[in-house]
Parts: sequence; structure tokens; C-alpha cells
Amino acid sequence: MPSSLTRRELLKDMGLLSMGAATITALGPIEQLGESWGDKPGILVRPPWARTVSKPTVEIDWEAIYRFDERNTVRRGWSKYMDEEAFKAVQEQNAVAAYERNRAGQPGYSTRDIALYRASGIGASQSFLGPENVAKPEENNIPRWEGTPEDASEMIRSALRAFGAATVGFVELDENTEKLIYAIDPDGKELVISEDTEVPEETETQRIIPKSARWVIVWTVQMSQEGMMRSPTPVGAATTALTYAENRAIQSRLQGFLRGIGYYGVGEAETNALAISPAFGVLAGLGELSRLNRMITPEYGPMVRVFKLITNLPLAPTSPIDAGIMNFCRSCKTCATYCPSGALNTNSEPSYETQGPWSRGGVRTWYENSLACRNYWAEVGTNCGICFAVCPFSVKDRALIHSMVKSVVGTTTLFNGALAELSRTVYSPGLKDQPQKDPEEWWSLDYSEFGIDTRQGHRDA
Amino acid sequence: MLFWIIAGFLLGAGALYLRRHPAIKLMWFDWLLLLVAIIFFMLAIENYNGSMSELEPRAAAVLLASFGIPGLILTAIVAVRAWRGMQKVGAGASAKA
Repeated sequence: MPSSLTRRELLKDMGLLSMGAATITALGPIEQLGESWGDKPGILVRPPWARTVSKPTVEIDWEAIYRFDERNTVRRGWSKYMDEEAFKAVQEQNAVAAYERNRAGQPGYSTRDIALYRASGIGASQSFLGPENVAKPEENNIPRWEGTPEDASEMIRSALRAFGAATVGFVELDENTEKLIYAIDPDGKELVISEDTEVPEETETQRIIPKSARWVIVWTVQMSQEGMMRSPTPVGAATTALTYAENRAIQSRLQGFLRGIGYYGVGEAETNALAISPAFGVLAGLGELSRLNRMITPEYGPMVRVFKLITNLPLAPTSPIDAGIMNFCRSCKTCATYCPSGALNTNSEPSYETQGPWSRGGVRTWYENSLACRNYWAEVGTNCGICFAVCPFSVKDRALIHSMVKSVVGTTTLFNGALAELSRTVYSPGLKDQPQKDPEEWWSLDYSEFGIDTRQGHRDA
Repeated sequence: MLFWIIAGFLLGAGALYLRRHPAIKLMWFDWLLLLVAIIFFMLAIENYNGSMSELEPRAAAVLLASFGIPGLILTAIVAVRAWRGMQKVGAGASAKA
């Protein structure tokens, strides 16, 4: 062993130390694996395990698909599926449930929790035709924007991100996808696709979409994992209410933007109107259909709300994806296990068989008992959300383990059962009808804006 | 970034220690085990830090143990083998004297 260090040896040793530091620092970005997949302008670019495919992973029988009356969903048609007396009882329960729990001192139902929930839904208004306070190009004698469909997709994606959207995709309407537009809107107005007009119109009884408007813009808006983990309390429900409220502004801004470049966009006249959002989301490759019978995205899991708008601006469509999500749902079943109302389907394989007339059918999925779900909302006085909270894909992306697991899930089905079990053990330690995290603790968090991490899934701030 | 710089310096320091103690003889598979152990340690620390920043202390603890314990076991195997090797060299030298 050398008893003293010569200058030469010291220099060699310093070189070794520096090389070690440099190598590891260079390898450091491996930490970013899950973060650097950000979609390129216009086109969603995912890591290799989230492959684009020609058909969605969910099987669709387009022959069986027809334009559905939105009022037949339990959202709007709740009373249709119960006898009058029973409906009256649950409605009464719905109106007072949160306050009764407050008076009983139930955690998560404090006065401030309820106020947060109620206030989160406040926001901009939305309409089918959108605001008219952005000047059309011809009003100022400037040319309307022109470009390729790819340029247009890139532009819309950038604008939507700036307005508050997360991921963005595009679908071109054809004789099949057109059937995903509702026949009747929630307020009873008929949605007419017309070849007789070049501009959208709204009358007392109809909303008219010109046949020339062939493109659907679909986007997600992130929900807060930290908020949702407090479901089914009002703190959990607040994130859903906030996301819908945020989107009313996002949709109006997008409609204003399209008007400002010389085109138009027709949007939801109210929440969940116009067309079936998750269906368009799946077709646009924003995610896959799941056991929740909702869309799960590779970036945020189910922690998003999905929205859409129909436009006459020609856009380059994005492709559906296979990130192993639907296959994972086959063996996972965490959401169905934790669902307090037993509304979610526990069969391993999806099916064409619906659980009630509130679902249109025609899609091989896990149909839910929407009535049981809605009645549970009335019981807890919120819109629940436990199934979203416990989903193994509802994770943030700061720990490398998430990218590692998602890449395994996207590559092979071999470990799905074990990974689902591991996820339940680590991330969902709560009881099935209780919040997974302490609602009271939420008030002491150093909460981010809207409770979301806007870097998740993107690169450029 | 700071974590990776510190990890790099620790690795460099480890390499420097081995270089300055030529009595420690490692076989090729010892180096392989050390490499795997280092990867486990990196994963343990990265996932611990990541999970803590995700406000998931339970996941942080599970992941620290899941990756850290195999890393410790592998390091212990290499250390014991190296120590035994040094003992043998020492015993051989005493016998010759």
C-alpha cells in the first residue's frame, strides 16, 4: 500500500473521481424517462411501450352504434330508472347528505370541505357556438390562417396547452365516428348534422352542425391526485368540480381562438353535452378504455376529464394507442373491488352486454351499473371518485418506478396480476368506502396550482 | 441533479479506495455483483426521493427496502469475499515468514 501520495497519483485519483461524477451526471436524465416523452407538436409521441395502433384496443361493433340520446344516461335520466317514491327519497338524501355528515362530525365533511367543493364549480360559462368577442380576421381586413392539417394540429395543441389542457388529439369524422355525437343534448335540443348550411346554428329546439365540420379536437384536463385521494369526501369531489369549471373557460378560449383565425368550433352547451368524450379520446389515442368504462391515459391514468369540440379547421388525426392498459384491467380489478356501491364490473373479460339502458352498447367493455353508482353519490353527498383514486395508473411520475412498471405493463401481460397486487398494497391502504388519504391533512399541504403537476407528461415549461 | 453528482462522487471515492488498497483483490464476478448492487442502491434512493416528493411515504419505505436490501446483500457478499481473500493473503504471508 503506498504510504504517500505523489502528485501524479493525486491527479489520477482526481481524474477517477471526476469521471465517476461526470458519468453519473450524464446518466442522471434516466430519472426523466417518464417526463421526457412529451408529445411533439400536433402529434402525440409516447415512449415505445405506448404503441400507436390502427384500431383501439377496445372492440367496437360500429353496426350496433347509433347516435345516443344523452338524456338516457343516468347523469340526466336518473329518475327514469327508479320508481317515483324511491327517486324522491334518494334526491332528498342527495340534498342533505353532506350536511348530515357535517353535523355528525364525519372527517372530510367539515364546513370548509363542503365550501371548497361548492366553490370549485364556479367558473366561466360555456355554449355551443362560443363567445363572439374575438374578431374574425375579415373584420380587421387581415387574412385568415392557412396551413397544412399537420400545421393546424400543432397550432391547436399549442393553443390548448396555453389555455390549460394537458394532452391533445384529433379525430376525423366519418360515417362511423359521427355516431358518437349525441342525437339529443342534455337540455333536450336535437343535434342535427346538416349538409344545408356552412355555419353552425342554434335554434329553440336544435343545434345544427354543418356537415363540413369534419374534425374533432379532443383534450384532457388534469385532475389532482392529492385531491382525488380524499374521495368520496367533498375535498375529493372538489377536484372534479374544478376541472369541469376550468374546462368551460378552456372551451370558450378555443372557440374564440378558432374564430380569431377564421374558422369555428362548436362545443358542449353544458357539461357532458355534444358527444361521448371518452370515445373520442380513445380514438384520438389519448388513452385506452378501461374497467372504469372511462378512458385511462398513459400520462395521468384516469386523473383527467376529457373534452371535445367539432371544427371546420382541417386537422391531422392522431392514432389510437396500446399501452397495455386494457389488458392490465383484465387482471387488476382494484377499482371494482374498492367500489363501495358494487357498480363496477368484476368479470375478467369485457363484454358487449350492458347492465342497463343507460348504456348504448356496441362496445366490448366493462359496462357499469350507473344507477348503483349514482345512488351512492346521493348517499355520500358528492360524486364519489374512489375508483379513480385507487386505480394503479393514478400515480404521479416523480419516482422512476412508475415508468418502469408502465413499460413492463406495456410490453407484457405476464406480471399484471402481481403488479396490481403490489399497487394495492403500497398505494391503496384505505378501506373500500373511505378516503385513501386523510382529508384533514389536505388543508396543511403546500398545494400546487390546481393541485396538479403541469410538468407531468410534458417537456417545455 | 445534485443527487446524481453526489452519487458520482461517492462512486468515484469507492473506486479510489479500491485503487489505493491493492491488497483487496476482486474477481470479475465480484465487480459484476458490485455493479448490480450499485444499480439497486441508485433505484432505492431515486424511488425513495421520488415517492417522498409524491407524498407517498408508505411507497417510499417499501421501495427503499425492496431495492436497498438486495443491494446491501450483494455488497455484503462482495465485502465478505474480499475480506476472506485478504485474510488468506495475510495467513499465507505469515506462514512464509
